[in-house]
Amino acid sequence: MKRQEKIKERIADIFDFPRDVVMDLPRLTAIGSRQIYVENHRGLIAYDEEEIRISVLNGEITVRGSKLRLRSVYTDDIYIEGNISDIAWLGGGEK
Amino acid sequence: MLYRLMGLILGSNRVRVKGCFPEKFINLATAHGIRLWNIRIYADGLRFETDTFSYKRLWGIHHATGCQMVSEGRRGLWEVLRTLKRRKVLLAGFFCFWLVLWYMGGMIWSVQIEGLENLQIGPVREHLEEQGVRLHARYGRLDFREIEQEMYIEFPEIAWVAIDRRGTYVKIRIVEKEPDPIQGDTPIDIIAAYDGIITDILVLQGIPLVETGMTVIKGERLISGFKTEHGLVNAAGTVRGFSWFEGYGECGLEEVTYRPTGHQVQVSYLWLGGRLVRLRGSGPNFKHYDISIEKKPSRLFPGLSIVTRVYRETEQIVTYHTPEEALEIATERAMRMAHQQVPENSDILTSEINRIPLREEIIRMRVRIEVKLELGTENIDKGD
Repeated sequence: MKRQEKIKERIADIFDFPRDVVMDLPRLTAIGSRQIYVENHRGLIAYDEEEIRISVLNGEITVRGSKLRLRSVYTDDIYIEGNISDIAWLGGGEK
Repeated sequence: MLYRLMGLILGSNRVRVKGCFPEKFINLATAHGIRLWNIRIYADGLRFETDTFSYKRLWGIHHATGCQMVSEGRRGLWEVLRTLKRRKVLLAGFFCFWLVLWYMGGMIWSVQIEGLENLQIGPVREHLEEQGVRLHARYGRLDFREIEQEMYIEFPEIAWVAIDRRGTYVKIRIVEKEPDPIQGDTPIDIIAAYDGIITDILVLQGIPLVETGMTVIKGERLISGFKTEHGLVNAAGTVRGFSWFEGYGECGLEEVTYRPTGHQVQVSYLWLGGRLVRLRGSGPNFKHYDISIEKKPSRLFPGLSIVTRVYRETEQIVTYHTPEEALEIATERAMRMAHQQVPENSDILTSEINRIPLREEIIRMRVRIEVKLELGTENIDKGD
């Protein structure tokens, strides 16, 4: 983890700020197994009806299932609908 | 989501993109701040929706990605308005339709009259039409309550009328007056309800048969009704006068009364051919009692009844009065009896209390009160 990020983390710890706000970390909101709302993404890596891969800070999020579709895409958020069976975090993590 | 609502109002474009990586196109669009929704991916590309303003900006992007972009149509309120702007006749037709519907909805399209028995429907309908209750009339201008009042005046045979409107349907419900079941075809007289002396007489209708100062007996005709070639003339008027009412009361120096104790015994019998067969219960062991008998005939077997006797125990109470107390009680009883006979709206003028000297053990009192009252009452003339 870079020095700047460490400082941000310390500040978030001290003031009890949400880390997605301070450190620009992704936030996932799942509504049952039908909808997922991803904030602070870095773009779409791959998209088909069975798997959607989304680039986030220090890795990627993979959503698997059937009949998946992008309900909406915007600069900071992606809204996915479908029969979601699996959500995975891939990547280096925070070092 | 709000952007979808905005898309419906301001309009949205359905776009088909072919010949490039869909992910790359989406990322590039979002990087330019363009919102895409309802994104579906296909083997040769993708389809999505975006707002009208973003659609123009997408043209710059698709050249950079080398994609082929095709618009598949527009939708939304803005688009509908643009269409309507081009099709003015359609718009005018739409407004005309609602205008005609509104205008015709304010008219009466059906009038129904119900409840007529002796009245003819023709004159009633004619009167209603004169008042404005007719087909194709605008009901907003009609005051149904006022029309109802007009109908009472126009048709005295009507006892009750109600005009109800439900939408374009008007229903008039009428109840006619019942013919007087007592009068028949004879005129009504005023007769004396009590014996008395006449002090005032006022004849409104009919022939007076008595004068002020005359003594009349109960049932005597005071004002006579009569028949004319146009119909019956009933007697009407007031006849006031003096009358007298008497009351009697007694009270013994030793009075025996019975008061229920609350105990009771019920005995049931079968009544068969004039014979009583006891079914349940036995006679009471009470020294004093009241008895009530109820007989219920059988519905299935005529001649068979269930007789129930209820014995209610009473206790004897002996009350001793002094002669003064007995006199007072007897007077009160006599007074009460006399007053019970006096009709309402009468003026009590004098009262006379007399003792009847018979036996020492029982005090007997008589009260006579003089009353000014309405002597006359209506009666049907059975003669002539």
